[in-house]
Amino acid sequence: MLEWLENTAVARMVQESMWGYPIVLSSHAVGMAILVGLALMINFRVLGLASKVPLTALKTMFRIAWVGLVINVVSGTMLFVANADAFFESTPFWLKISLLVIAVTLLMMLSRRIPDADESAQDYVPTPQVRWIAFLSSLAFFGVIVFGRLIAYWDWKDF
Amino acid sequence: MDGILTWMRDSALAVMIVNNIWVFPTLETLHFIGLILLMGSLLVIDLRFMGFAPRIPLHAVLGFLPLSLLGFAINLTTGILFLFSDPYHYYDNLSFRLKMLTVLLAGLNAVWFKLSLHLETPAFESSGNPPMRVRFIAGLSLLLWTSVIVFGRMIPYLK
Repeated sequence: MLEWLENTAVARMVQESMWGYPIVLSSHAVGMAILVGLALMINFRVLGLASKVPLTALKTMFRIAWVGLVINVVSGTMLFVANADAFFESTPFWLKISLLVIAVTLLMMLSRRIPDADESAQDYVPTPQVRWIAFLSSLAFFGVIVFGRLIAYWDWKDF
Repeated sequence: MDGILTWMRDSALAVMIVNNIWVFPTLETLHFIGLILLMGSLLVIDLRFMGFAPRIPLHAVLGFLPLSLLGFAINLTTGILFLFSDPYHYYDNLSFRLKMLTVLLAGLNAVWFKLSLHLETPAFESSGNPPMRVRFIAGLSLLLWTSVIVFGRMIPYLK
């Protein structure tokens, strides 16, 4: 299965074309900045930063954050198939993916709890439960970054 | 230039970074966190000044600016430490030079943004709709900082 993945056309393109790998890697960094950057800004606002920004109006930014998520699922899958067996055996990789699923789930929970922007919701104040979701989502995203970086150092063979 | 590069390479700081295996991955992780804070806050601010999320008051969105400055400070510090660890490698690297040039342009663009705000704030504060020039500067800011991320990721490949 892993061997088959590494021989697919997408994997070959990332492995062999001179610019394939750096371009996919750059997209992954830009997607990270969009997804994690906007997730943290929304979370920090829930926790009290920039309190003059109405949360219901900031909610629009979730749409851009999901664009970042799509960029990174696509670029991340391409990086994975190019080196499937090494990623499959990497502990920090699986820790990263687990934390990513948790972080994104918490972010989706948050987006459902913040009301849409209309006149009645102008002075929405997040409940303690919503604050906990924002705090834990930030923590999980922080872990995603740490373990993502560690993939390149922890038992990584010839990379 | 050679004198400075040699001094950096032989400094106690460089020896410390190179000889402790955990220092470099820690600096890289911090550099990513700084990138996320800088880019996340600028996405919210610049998208708003481009006309997106019009329900956010323009003066309020600047509440995210301290995070841009914090992210930049983290990345300036960790970036200088990278430079100490291998000064000749970075100095000769095309992608690194392009990245530094783009950081400089982004800085000048930020000054232009600040000047434009002072000149034009009264005119658009009431309408909530930034003038064309301010929208252009905000879009240019996102383009330049995205290029900074891409050139940074390209350092090992575009030499």
